[in-house]
Amino acid sequence: MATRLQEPTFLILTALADQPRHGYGVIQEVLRLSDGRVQLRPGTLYGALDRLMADGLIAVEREEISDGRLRRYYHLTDDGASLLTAEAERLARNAAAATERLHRRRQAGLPLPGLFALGLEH
Amino acid sequence: MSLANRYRWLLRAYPRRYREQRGEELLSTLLDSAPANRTWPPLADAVDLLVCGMRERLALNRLRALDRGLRLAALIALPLAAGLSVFCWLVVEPITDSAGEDLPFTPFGSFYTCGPAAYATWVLAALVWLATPRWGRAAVGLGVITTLALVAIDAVTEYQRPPAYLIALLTGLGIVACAGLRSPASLPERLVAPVGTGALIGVLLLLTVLMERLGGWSGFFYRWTAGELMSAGCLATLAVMFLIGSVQMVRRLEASWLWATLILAVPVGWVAAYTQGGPQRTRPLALFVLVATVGVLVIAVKLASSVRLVPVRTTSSRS
Repeated sequence: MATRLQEPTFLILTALADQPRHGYGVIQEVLRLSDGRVQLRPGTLYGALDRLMADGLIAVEREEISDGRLRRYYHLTDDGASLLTAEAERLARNAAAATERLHRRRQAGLPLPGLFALGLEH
Repeated sequence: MSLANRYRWLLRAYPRRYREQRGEELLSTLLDSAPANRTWPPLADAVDLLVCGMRERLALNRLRALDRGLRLAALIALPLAAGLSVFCWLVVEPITDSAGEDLPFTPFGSFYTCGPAAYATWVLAALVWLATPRWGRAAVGLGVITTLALVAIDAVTEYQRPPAYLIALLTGLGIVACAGLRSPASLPERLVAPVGTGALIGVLLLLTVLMERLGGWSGFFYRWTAGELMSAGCLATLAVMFLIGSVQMVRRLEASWLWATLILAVPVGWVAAYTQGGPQRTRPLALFVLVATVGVLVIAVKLASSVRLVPVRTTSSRS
């Protein structure tokens, strides 16, 4: 997949990177990973899960019925892990490049408004 | 009725086959997300289920090309609506000096009809989409509502509405735009609205000047040239889209432009047929074109979605 991942998709794959999770678990983990910014609605989540399964990036690992509720646990496939790795590296390179340029800007004596808020000042 | 039953009722927005495969799991996740004392689904969940259910019915979640096609159609529908509006506003609607004294109805200021009230909202929608895509759909929705309100203005005031085919065309383009515009949008996607609007106005004005020179232009809606000219602009746009779609299909086996052409053909095709000559002759043809385009779109969605169903299977081990 050559196209850049949308943030919710990136966060869903990240939520499944370390362990299988069911739908509600993914919603909670995405909320945690995004510091409360991205709250997936169940309808949206399952649309995304369907697309990711169709692309072979995630798969259903097991099903459980607990308190009369059906829960399917999803895990990241090898293809999903490769894509997530590539995307994380791309984002890390972009962040590193931005940090370096901002560092040069500061060395040149140019103002960096909001620097503390961005967490770039060390 | 319990919360679960209310959610089940909302899940009817999804097709039956999807509910059989996913319904109980989706319901479990919805109930997991709800506090213990909740009895009604939150509005956000209800809207989400209705929208996602309709997307599933249209196979947009599974058919990427169709989803991209809808987005492309929306990006083109908005400048078409805005361009036609500006053309009518500047060229067709202003009352000429010679016609002003003999009108059999009350003019809307210096215009034949109350259309400019709606035309302004389409221009606004294109500008809002350019400036803040987040509010683009709302602005298009305002355009649709204002356009439909012209019928009510015609009924309760002395002002005339524009012809029904123009109201139907702008409404149809607005519905496509509402369905397909999504934010965030890239700068090229945002620029399509003003650039496309400008290009359409430019072409229509050029043709108008040429027709005036040739003595065939009369200007008002119910004479043949204004409707035909606008239909020709829309059909030319469809033809270019079809050409791009054909090349895309041959070179990349990607059908998004063809989907976009088919989607836009629904509001454009029958209006184009309707405006060719007198209504008595063209109404049956327009009805046929409408039924044909809707039929082809529905069959294409059914065929495409039936071969791309993704079964939910449990894997015995991780791949």
